[in-house]
Amino acid sequence: MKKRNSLLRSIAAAPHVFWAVLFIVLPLIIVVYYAFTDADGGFTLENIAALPEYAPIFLLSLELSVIATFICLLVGYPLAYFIAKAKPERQKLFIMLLMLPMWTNLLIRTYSIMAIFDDGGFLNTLLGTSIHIIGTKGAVIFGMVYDFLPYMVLPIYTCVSKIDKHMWEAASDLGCRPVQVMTKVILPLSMSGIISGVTMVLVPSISTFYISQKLGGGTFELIGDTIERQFVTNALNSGAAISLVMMVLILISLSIMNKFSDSEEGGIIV
Amino acid sequence: MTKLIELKGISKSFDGERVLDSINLYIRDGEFVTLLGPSGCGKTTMLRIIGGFETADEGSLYFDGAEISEVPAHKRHINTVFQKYALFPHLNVYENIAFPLRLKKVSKDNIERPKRIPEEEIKKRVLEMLDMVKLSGFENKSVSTLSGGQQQRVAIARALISHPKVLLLDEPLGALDLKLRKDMQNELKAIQQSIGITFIYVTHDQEEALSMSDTVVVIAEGEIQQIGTPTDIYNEPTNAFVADFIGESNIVDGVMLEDKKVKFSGKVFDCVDGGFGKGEAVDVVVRPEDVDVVEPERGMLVGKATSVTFKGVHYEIIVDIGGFKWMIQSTDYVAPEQTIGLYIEPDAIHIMKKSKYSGKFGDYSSFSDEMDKLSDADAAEEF
Repeated sequence: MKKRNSLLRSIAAAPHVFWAVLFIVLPLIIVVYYAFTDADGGFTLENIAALPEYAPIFLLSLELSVIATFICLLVGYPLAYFIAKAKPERQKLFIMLLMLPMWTNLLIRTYSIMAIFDDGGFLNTLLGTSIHIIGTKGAVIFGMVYDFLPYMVLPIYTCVSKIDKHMWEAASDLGCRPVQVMTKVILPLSMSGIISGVTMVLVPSISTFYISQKLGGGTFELIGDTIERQFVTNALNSGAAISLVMMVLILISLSIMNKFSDSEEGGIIV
Repeated sequence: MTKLIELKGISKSFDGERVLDSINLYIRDGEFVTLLGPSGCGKTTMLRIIGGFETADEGSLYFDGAEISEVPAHKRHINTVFQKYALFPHLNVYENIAFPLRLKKVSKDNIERPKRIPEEEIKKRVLEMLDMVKLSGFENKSVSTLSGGQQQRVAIARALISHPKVLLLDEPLGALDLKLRKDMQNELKAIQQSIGITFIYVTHDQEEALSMSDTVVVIAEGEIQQIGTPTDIYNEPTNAFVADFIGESNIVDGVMLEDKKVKFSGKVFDCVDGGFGKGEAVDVVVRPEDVDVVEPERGMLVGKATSVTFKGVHYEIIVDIGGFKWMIQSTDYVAPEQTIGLYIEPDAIHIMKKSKYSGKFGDYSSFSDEMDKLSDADAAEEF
């Protein structure tokens, strides 16, 4: 009986295992292979050794994406909290409104932001001004926040809406002022949602390239642009090395973040 | 004992449905009061208004003589043990219990700036509380690893550590199994007596209410039906609802002929109640255990036993008397279909005024249906 069950389970899992091997494990192996070989296929550490020259680009990417993530958290938490505490039928509407922009392709949305903020764009025409926005750090950060905000809101919303409603009552019953209800009970209980949200915004914004290309107006190069350029110019080995180190860095920071989240509910990613 | 909590004309509606209808009630200092009623009767709403989680639409709430209707929950000297315990999952047992103390700031004299309670004092009080609820050694456990009964104890300790004047308990034993319930009933009563504060306890379990309380408040349809000691409530129910809800009762239509003479089921009986008008229609309550089974020729009432069920201590016998089914509890065996006589002492007959509940309860002709309905009500008990 037990044997049959495990056989059934293997059969059921087979497509997923196949998928994971083909599209996750295999590509990873290829990335590792290219990172440690030269153009002729011989083993080398040169690609890795050359990485420090990209440090300034990496730091700039980190700076912009951390700021964007922080803004997303600042805007996203209250929004997620508000939706989670709304009436159930309203919640569905708000979530749909939040998801609606995601039905449009990310590139098209980014182009639209360009059209709005361009020197001769919609905003400046409307205001009759000539504010230079495209090409500033602010524009890139705005793009990141706009594109990735739903990824912050959704996990926090899920987490907050699962908190037992008696937690609010118990906290205030035991003497918490309204602010303390949030800081002592609700925020700690939302930590797993916050960690997931931060991860889901930080990771794509640190490695984005089209947002910085379009909204940065070619002024900035972020690490995503660098990687893209390597691959486009056929510098596969160097591109693979940067990607690999990025992945390792992200993995390390995620596992550190997961340490802070509740061991039972956390660990959604990694 | 002084009035500690007083409700004056408290009314509350949800979505246009009146849940509480001008409730007047006072609760004395140090009393164990139970709000007892079927699900949806408004008892939990009443508790939530006292706790500060709901505001009444009408009426006012007094605490120690001062109106607190508008005072938020965190400023009331009232703590609650929630039905599902509501322990904080991100804190361990120790931190859950210490939680209220960590929020407090105290000043030794009024001149000094209020300070946090020192860690040694918090530790001392938490350990005292753990000892009181018999959970010493559980300090560092995560609350999610505790059993229902243990979580219950942590919730009680957490609610009592800041020395509230009143503890509210919302069906706190509802999720525990029968054996544990009985133990916790005794323990709760013992805790209440040792610390001497007021407990307001909400339950739909009449046996729990009778065995723990100093005062029972019976509530139905958003109105208080009766307030009294457990013995009063059992022996002198005010109407058919209370008589039926508390224990088993045969409730028959009767007519008062004069003081201490009542006619029901076609016979005239001596009783001990008076003060009704001559010829006034009344409800007559006879408890099943107060009826003696005798030979038919000696019986004051005669009928045929339609069902006999062995219940351990006694037999439960349903007797058809002129179409009305009586429930009798007797230690003597009676064969089904046997004709028996019933003998009722005058002090076993309790007379009640007619009420809107007359005729709705106290007939055992559809006994099994009624049991089904009762168990459904238990299962669907409000949260």
